Amino acid sequence: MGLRSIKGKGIQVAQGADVETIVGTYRSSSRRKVFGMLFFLLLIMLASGIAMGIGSYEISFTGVYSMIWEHLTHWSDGFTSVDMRVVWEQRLPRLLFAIISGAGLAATGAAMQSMLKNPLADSYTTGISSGASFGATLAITMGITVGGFVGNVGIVTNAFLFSLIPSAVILGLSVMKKASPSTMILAGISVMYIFNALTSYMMLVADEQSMSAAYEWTMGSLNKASWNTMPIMFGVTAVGSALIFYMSRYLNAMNAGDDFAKTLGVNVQRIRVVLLAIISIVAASIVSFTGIIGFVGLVGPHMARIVIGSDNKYLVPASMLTGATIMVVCDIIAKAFTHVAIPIGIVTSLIGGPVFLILILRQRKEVW
Amino acid sequence: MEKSHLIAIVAAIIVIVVIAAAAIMLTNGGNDDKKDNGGNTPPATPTTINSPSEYTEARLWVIGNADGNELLDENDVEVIQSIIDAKGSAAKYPMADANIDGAIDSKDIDHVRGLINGSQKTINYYNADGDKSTYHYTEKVNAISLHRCVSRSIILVTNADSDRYKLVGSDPHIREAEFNAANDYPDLVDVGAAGNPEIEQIRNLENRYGSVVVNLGNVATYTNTAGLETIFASDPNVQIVRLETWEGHSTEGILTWGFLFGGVGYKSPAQGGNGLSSWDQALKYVKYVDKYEGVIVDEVAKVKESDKPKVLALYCEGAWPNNSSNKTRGEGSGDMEMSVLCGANNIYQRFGNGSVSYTPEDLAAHARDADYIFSMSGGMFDGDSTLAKRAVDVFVDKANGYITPKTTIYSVSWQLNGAPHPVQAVVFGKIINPDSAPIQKLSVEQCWEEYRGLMGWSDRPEMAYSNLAIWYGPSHTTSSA
Amino acid sequence: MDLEIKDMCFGYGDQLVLNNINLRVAPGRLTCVLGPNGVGKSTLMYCINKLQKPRSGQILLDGRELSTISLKELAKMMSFVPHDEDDTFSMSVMDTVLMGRHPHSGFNHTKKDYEIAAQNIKLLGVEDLTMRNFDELSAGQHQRVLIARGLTQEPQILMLDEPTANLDVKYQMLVMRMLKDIARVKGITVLVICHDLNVTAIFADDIVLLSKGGVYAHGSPKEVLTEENISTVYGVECEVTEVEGVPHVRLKDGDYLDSHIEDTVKAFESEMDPGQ
Repeated sequence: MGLRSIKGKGIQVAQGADVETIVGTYRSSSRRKVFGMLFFLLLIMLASGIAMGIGSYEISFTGVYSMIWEHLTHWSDGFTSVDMRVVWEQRLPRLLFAIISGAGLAATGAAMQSMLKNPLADSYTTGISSGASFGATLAITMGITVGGFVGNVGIVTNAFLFSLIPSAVILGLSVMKKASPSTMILAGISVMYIFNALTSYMMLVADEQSMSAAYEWTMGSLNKASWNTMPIMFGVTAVGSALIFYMSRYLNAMNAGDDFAKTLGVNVQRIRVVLLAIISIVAASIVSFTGIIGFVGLVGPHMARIVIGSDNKYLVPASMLTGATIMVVCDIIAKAFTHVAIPIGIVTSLIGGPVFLILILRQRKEVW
Repeated sequence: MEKSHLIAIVAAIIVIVVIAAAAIMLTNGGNDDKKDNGGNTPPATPTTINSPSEYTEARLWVIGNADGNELLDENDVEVIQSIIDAKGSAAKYPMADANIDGAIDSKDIDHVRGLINGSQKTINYYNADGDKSTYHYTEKVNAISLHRCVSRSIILVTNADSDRYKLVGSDPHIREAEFNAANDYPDLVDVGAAGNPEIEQIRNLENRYGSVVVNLGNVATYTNTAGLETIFASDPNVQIVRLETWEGHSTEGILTWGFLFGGVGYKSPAQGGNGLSSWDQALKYVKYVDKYEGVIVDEVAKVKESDKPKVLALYCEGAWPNNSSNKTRGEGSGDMEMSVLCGANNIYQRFGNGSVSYTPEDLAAHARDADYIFSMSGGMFDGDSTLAKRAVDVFVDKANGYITPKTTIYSVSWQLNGAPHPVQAVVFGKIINPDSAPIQKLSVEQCWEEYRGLMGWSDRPEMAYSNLAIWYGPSHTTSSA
Repeated sequence: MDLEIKDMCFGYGDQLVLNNINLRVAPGRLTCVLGPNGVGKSTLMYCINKLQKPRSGQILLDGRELSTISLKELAKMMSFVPHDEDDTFSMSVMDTVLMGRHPHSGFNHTKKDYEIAAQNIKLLGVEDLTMRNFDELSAGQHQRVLIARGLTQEPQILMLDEPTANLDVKYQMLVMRMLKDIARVKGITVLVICHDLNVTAIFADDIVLLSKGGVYAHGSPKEVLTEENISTVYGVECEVTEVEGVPHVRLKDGDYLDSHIEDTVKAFESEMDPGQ
């Protein structure tokens, strides 16, 4: 490792500075991080307005906000116009879905990366996506659901429960065999192969309509957004993200290596198990409603890392912001070109890939 | 450029393109719905016809039917003679070139006479794709039908004399109750669905019966069947016949089929024949259709385009709007064409071409001025009318506030959706034209019962009109905001 | 804090690495651990900070058995400075050093936490690197930052694994001097694994010389760094003189190479100069 050029990386401390300067500089830099995140929040709100303004039913940018405001202030009047109904029943739920899923996927992605010390990890690395696909395909093509639920409820519960199986396998492994990060990733991959094979077979023997419905599910979409489905996803994501945020200092310790973390008094095994459980549940709750939206959980944290650094105390909230932003922007793109929205999973991957490449190329880090 | 600007520009482009496409579609498409009201006096000299799609008056597409009516008779011979005298070219008068040799001469007259007296076994005709096809008349028709609608039509035309006609293979959907397959066609072989026929099965049937006729529609609708002609090109025992059943006109194809299967050398009872033949049956069917659809078409023709009610046909699933199988019924769905036939201004194109997915928002954007919405839903093919009602209730619930209470909603149950064209036409016609006395006088029950008789289902009580669940409605949403 | 090891054995499978270690390390002194590669110096440290579990024996901190102390409690008493660290996802220098406060702080750092970290950063002379990212630094800078982190943990026993390996002579001396002073001033136990015999000789208060899985010698530099000891343990000839009361080891090249190395060298020499 040689020295890299600094290239104006913000405020630096001069040689010979005293303790007070050191502390002061650090703390002001931390404050700037917080302001940066607030700015991002503003960006999301702006993008949200744009996103909510797109659709076959024409509503202006300002119209959207005025409809939201009016309904909030006259709640008991119900929906007083078609505009209001479209915004509240169609556009707003979809937007909130985008934000919640983006934030949740990115937060769990950040946690996963720190926990496994692997820049390619996201919440799907443990095989959650393949478990969820399996569950959903099982419900769609064969009508077999846990608890015998039908229709959408059946698909969601199936996806949720089956997505937890890979995590359970890995958790079991960690507890029994004290698995290292690489073992966990490999175990996740093996489970993924099994589930993928079964899913592919089911799709092969299914009739055309079921097969295309199952396939569409795996594409990831925001179509299931509604006020009924939102509380669960929001609640789980909010609580889970808060927990991850609270555990950020443990994530920091683990970032330095398992062994060193232990010398700091961190029970690495236990923390890992707890984190994995939280990540799995949050990711599962998102995946079961949206299908598989790839890339956000991977790129959100990296984008945040580039701006805000790897201190998980800032990284986790920042990832939530970048994840939400990515989702809202992709939603805008998904709706902008065709009458029927492109499944958002396709957009996130299509847009995310090149964006990520550009980010990597512009960075000077060779570490990844 | 700001994102909102970019989006506005893109949206504007899309809007312009759609309007242009709609304009093109509306001016180009669908003038071929006019029906001939049965053969009265044939025109003495034919007008210039450049392609069968222009041939709006004729319904018998056997080449040689030079006067363009429903019969192949001496009149056609006279017309061909007058063309020969006038030295007309085959390019200008394609329907006169009976032997499709590119020239209009005495050979064509011989050919037509041969078809009339039964000595000519080669029949040339225009198929559903507008291609010249050749059929070799055969005493025994072993028919394979590649769609339930095709099955219905084949059963109709071959009903007359079941000694000569046998339905030997079909797509799996013929297992629907109306066909009574288990009873009437116990040896029926499943040859795969419309888009994916199983070649092996067709060959098996060929081996078993010596020769088979495969009946289907145009290549565009039966998408994977384009290769069938190539596969069986050198096999004289397998004949591929493409004639419309449901893709376009209601009677298209039936007459031509009737002729292919039973028109060569046909002698009516007056001429000493026994009157039992698919040709006979086809003619009866055409008269039956004209009795009902003729009225509708005539009445609709009197209505100005701007006065026609705005109509939308939709496919609704129970889990809507949280799934994507809810689609408009656009061109090619049959429902769209039916509504237009019955005098509607179908507004499906506001949503996009063809059958496309829609959301409540799309309804708010495009369908607030709709007079009627016809909804169809899956699962209704089980013949359960409760599903029809449920589909409407779900739709009303979810569309509440996106469409206005002034829109009247009907649901269409299987038995109507699978019902013969004239029956559907009477139902739709009466709903869409409440002010037309002649249309209101038409009776759905009567229309069905006549069809039932033609199909030979009179001895099946479950096919009585009183046992069918036809439709549910009218229904309305309650909130306009 | 008093560190005592009694009859400790450690091994992998049926192979014994450390056999019957008996050792008492006194506080307020800089103790260096020397020995050939693979003898188990690091392993010894890992047994002390509970990263590895000894097969038998006891380790006592102020008379308390190590097995009765939880990792969390231990972290408040003992810190470990690794040789270097993987810098995937590394943070700024200040953040890295602040990690040393983990056993003592809660979710938020207090003003005191920041001050302690800043003081140690200044002590190690890396204050101009405070806001720089850890992965932008050289190996030597890495080591100084990690030492600062170890100190920030405010342990009573500080263990360092080859902390001076990548430092230039000035910083080698500086770090060792500083460790010696910290041990004396703060009264903590400092245990350092070293390779450089002379630097060790200058600064160490005590030296533990490990050989073949056991403690070969333990005492002051003068007592431990003798020609026989070095020859027996390392297999290297040297001459030990005394300079201002500190033993100075002068290594001698000679005919004591391992036999198979000798053959290879002889073959190489004959290649270079045929006919010799």
